[in-house]
Amino acid sequence: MTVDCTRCSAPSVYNRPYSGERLCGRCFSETLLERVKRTINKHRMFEHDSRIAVGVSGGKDSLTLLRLLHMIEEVYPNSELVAICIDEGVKGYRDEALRIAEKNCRELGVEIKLLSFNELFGETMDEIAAKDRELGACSYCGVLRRRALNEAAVSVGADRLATGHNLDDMAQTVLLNLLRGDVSRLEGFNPGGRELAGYVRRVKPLCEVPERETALYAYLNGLEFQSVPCPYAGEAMRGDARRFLNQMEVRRPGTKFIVYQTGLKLASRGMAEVAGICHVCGAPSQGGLCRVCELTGRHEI
Amino acid sequence: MRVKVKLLGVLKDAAGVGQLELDLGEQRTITEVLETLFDGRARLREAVWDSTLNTYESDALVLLNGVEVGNLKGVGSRVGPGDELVLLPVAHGG
Repeated sequence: MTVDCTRCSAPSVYNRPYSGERLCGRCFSETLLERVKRTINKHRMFEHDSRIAVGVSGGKDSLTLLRLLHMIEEVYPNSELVAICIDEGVKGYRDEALRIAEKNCRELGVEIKLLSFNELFGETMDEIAAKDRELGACSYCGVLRRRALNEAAVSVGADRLATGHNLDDMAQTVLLNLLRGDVSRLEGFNPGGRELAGYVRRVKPLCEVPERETALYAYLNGLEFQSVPCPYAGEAMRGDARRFLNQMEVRRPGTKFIVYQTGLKLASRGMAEVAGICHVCGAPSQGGLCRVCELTGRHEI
Repeated sequence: MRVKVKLLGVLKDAAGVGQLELDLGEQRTITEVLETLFDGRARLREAVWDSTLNTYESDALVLLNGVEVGNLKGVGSRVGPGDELVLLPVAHGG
């Protein structure tokens, strides 16, 4: 026997540990939609006529984001959604993810823009991973994917780029930057993004949604889960931060939200450095050379 | 007693199978069903089970007949004949 939903009389399916709510499937999905709407408003993420590029990887977070934004933006006739799918060139893994992403976009009638690492950087992630390299594959992939998402968003004329970063991702980022002694990297932590020349403003509407809840939303709403794991997954330090935060969250529900809020406070107190410009490609950069040019060896034009 | 188990996403890959039935003999708790499921499936155990906390809660969601087991009695919830367990991965695929 389960107790009734806190919001209606239907049987509950989920006990939200950090709030004590018991929710049926419908009310659970509605609370997520409401929270994302509040987050969008709080951080003034969109205008009524924004053309929003949504980074869609085919994973549960980005599919959940696409579904929720599709519902939210339906009432704004002048706003538009465009799905951006980046093909990193990881055989097997990305093939399945792109198929799922395309299927969801078709179902929702959302325009889709594909861009590959090969088109943009002249090599696939598989080729980069096969080289002698100093850093983990995830370090290359993360930096190059961010650039690729921006290039694709620019190419479709978007004024916002929404990504599926969830509360877990945000809390991990705060902890990682503290562990690395690099609080300056929290400069771009604000989920509402910021205006930078040449860059589409990046927003993170799922920043207050725990990863467990994007997974449950995806399941309850019939979204397909990727079955092929990324062969390069397992970046050591982020994995450590994830495990630590997950364990703390089980012991002390609400930990991830507190860490996330701390990151917002640090970022807003100006503890981060002001961005400069990369002398090779002109992109915003904390030093004279951006991470993309550093990692791809483009030191000279 | 037979129990249906569905494994979604990368858990399907880790188990090598997406759906199976376990013959457990008598009524069991979720913990006992998971132990039977993990037997001979080390990759699945690694993907789901946090040995520090002795729980699945870090990396997976477990639903018993459509109800997340945190809404029941956690891993101590009783599983009956014909029940269905669904395991969802949490930390894979963004």
